Amino acid sequence: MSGDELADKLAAAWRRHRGEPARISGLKRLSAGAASASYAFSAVTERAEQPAVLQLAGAGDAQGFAGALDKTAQARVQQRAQAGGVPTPEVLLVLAEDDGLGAGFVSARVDGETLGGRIAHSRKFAQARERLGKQVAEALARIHALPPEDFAELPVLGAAEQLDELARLHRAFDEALPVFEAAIAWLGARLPEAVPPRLVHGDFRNGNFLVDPEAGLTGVLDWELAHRGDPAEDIGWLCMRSWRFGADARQAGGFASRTGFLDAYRAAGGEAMPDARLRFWEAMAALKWGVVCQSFAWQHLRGDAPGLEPALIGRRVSEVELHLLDLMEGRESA
Amino acid sequence: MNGNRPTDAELARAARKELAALGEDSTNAAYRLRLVAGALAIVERALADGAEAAESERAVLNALPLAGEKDLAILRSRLCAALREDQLSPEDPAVLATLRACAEAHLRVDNPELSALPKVSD
Repeated sequence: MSGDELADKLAAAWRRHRGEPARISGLKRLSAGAASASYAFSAVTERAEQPAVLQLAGAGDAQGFAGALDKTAQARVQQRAQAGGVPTPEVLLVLAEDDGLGAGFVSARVDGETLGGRIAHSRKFAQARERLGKQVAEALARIHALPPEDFAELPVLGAAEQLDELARLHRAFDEALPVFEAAIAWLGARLPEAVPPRLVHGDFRNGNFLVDPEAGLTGVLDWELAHRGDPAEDIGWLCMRSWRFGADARQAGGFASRTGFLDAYRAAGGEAMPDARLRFWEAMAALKWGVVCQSFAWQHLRGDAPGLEPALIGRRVSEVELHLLDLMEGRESA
Repeated sequence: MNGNRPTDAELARAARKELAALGEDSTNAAYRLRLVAGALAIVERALADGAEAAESERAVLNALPLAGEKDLAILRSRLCAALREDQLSPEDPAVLATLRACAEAHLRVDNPELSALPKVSD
């Protein structure tokens, strides 16, 4: 589809869903992948100019995990989270079939940096890092406090099912990785007791946070993996080593210590969680990232992802091996 | 050689193709050249140290009750099967020490800075 055609359809969709005409200006592609494509633009109406982001479903199948939401379901979760007080961009419209653009939605464009390495290291974000631990903890406590019955359409993914799924995905690659097998056995012996399911963001990590150098957190992004389950899962994923971008002493996303983050999470109303449960979910997170690294490598090897980047990500499995061993041996205190 | 996929040869091939593609279309050239340099650094370390790293992995794996075997791929598969079938346990410090020695051998090629990182706790 040409840019003009996209802008025309977007203007028609804006009018249909928001009840006022708008001119689409500055339409610019932000990213394009197999799973989705996104565009920045401004909708200029008589009253105002609204900076916005359009997210469309991609042409190919999204790689990855069971339970990834389609764009329409994702928009609904983001909408309700925002209405419930979670800092996340407001959803302005959800596309319908007769808009002719496929599944997708438009949300408000909020300024901020998302590149995790910059947020963890750049001097420009030193001030933001001071505040970010508390802000991110508050946002997560807010997510976990939302009434789970409002998200009844989301699948419940418990610890045992997720571990089975990871083991199945890993073994399907037919690549013998003894540390991964050891981790699967170790996790299987430590399955935490099932808890009443809460809303889980599912991809709550540095890289999915919009961060302003002064104000800190301005938005939580990417609700595609939202589900219901154990809230400790989000904390384990946040603390996974790769999301620290090398700032290893700040276990929570490379911007806060794990204990500092947990204190702020509890102060914001989050549940106190036993160490064993957090350690379980952090090891699950490491195993999950390891299986994601493998899946990048195999997409490359099968010819579905020809670039060098997915091949290189495959060799990050060694980092994951070390992290899993550190977690199993208690060298990473949870 | 490391044994994880892509293999060193597969990685070198992906780097070569990336360079060829860059000749056709130089979008994001700086980033993609950094990736090529990263891939070549892995292949360079594999050529220099890979055989020794594989030998040390083979030696620690052969110290486990897996029967003598030269082929690293077979040793790894046997260890995986033993862990899956509960004949070896991740609760056993000797098993964990072996796995750590293997992971460190992989990191010598894939990411030597990381293997040298101090362990961090709160």
